[in-house]
Order: sequence, then structure tokens, then C-alpha cells
Amino acid sequence: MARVGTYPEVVRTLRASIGAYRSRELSLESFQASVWDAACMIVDVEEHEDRSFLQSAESRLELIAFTTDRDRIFDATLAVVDEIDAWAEGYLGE
Amino acid sequence: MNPTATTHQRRPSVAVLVVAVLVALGALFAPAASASTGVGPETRVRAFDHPTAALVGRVGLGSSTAVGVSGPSLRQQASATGNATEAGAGVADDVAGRLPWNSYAEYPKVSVGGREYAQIGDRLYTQHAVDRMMPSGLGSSGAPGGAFGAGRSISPNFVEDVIRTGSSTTEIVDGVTRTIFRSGTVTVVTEDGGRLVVTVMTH
Repeated sequence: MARVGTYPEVVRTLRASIGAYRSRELSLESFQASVWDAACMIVDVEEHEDRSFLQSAESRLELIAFTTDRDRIFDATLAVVDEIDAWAEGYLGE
Repeated sequence: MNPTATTHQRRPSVAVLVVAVLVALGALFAPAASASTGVGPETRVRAFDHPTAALVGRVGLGSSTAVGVSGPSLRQQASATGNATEAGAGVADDVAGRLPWNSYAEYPKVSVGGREYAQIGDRLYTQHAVDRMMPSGLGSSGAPGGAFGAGRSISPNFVEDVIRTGSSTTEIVDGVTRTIFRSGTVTVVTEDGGRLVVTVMTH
């Protein structure tokens, strides 16, 4: 049976941000804020690993943003974005 | 009889000795009892209006925790939220050997190369770094942590410790050498060999 987390609306909102970031409608900084805000809203103790995953993902995006040449940042972040998207699919049981 | 008389004469001396021992023992244990009941084992964090450390929790004689929130804005925010954790609590100004944990606006500023930085101890911090370091309860939009998300609850003392004791690597970013320090779950990105703190993050 597919897993559905306690906060599907939070994750759906995050997925919308993922789409906006991929199409460059959202800045990396704003996308990071979306990821962090989603992490902060996942407070159920049973889902602490989901919260930790998102917090860690946000930190990885921050590290890329400040340790990568400006013209390579977007491409370098896509791997992390893909991981977040895959996590979101699993969270929503899709 | 002399032996009996001698025994009777000694009894008061023994009693005085016992009382003296009891008084001495009482004097020894009185401070411990007072300390253990003076402050309860719970830890409460509250903003305070003076720049000295506040004892907010104490368990046993060997440990104590002094935390506080410094700076008018943070004190106001902390009062409003009413809570903070060890990681999220501020460290008071003027505590010996400790760095103040304030919002960006409250640090002294230094201009280097046309850019403004906050001076914390011997290092310069970008506003971005200071905003990310804010206590998590204080960093949401409109709060001192800035517009982009809640703070990550990393005090300047943690940052200082990571730079001093953590492992380091370097990256050339757009022609500028950046040194990345790591220790435990905290990573600090710096320039100028650690003098300028660019950003901080937890994993």
C-alpha cells in the first residue's frame, strides 16, 4: 500500500515550487525557502525523517549556491531537486 | 569511687564533642541543600533586559545553564514567542568568552570593498549568514531573520567553534577562494581564510 504522509498539502505546495524552479520561474533562494518552510511544517514525530531529509536538501542547495560558479549553479542544483521530487512522490503515494 | 566519678566527668565532654561534630556536619551540608533547592531542575528561557547572563536552569551542583536573548529586537521577539531551545536560545552580551547573538541590525558594521558586514568577535559576517543563524522561532518572514525562511539556530559561538576546530576544504568560486569548514552537523562557508563568514548551514 502506498504511503501517504500527514501533510499532503504541504508537499503538494512544495511540488508546485519544484515545477516553478525547474522552469526558472522561481529563484533558488525562494525555492530554498519553500523547501525549508515545508520541512518546518512537517512536525509529526513519526515523520521526523521526512523533515530531516528536507532540511538536509535545503542545506545542500545552500552549499551549491555558495561553492559553485554562478553560471553552473542551476544545473548543479537539479540533482537535489530531482531527489526532492522523488521524495515528494513517495510521500504522496504516487 | 574515683573511676565512677571520672566517668561522670567525661560524659559532658563527649556530649559537647557530638554536638560539635553535628554542627560541623550541618555546616558542610547546608550549602548543598540550599543549592539543590534554590533553582529547580527545569530549564526556562526568557528574554531579559540586562546584558548579563541569566541562570535559567540548574541540575545538581556541577552543571548550570545560562542562556538568554540579547538585543532589544530579539528580546521582544523572544517574549512574543515565549519559547526557545538550547540551540535556539540566544547568548547574552558580555558573557566572558562568548559572542553576542543578535539580529543583523544590532551588530556593529564594517565596510570592506564597498560591502557592509556585521562584526562578531574577530570575524565579519554577511547579512545572509547572520539571518540564517537566527533562532528558528525568530527567523520567519517579518522577523529579524529576514524574508527567506526561518533561522537555522546556529549561534556565533557554534560558528567560531566550527572554524577553529573543524575540517576544511577550499573551492574557487567565480575567481574567489572560499574555505568551507565542517564540524558535526554544521558547515560554514568563508572567504579570506575564515575571516569573512559568507553562509552557514546544518545537515
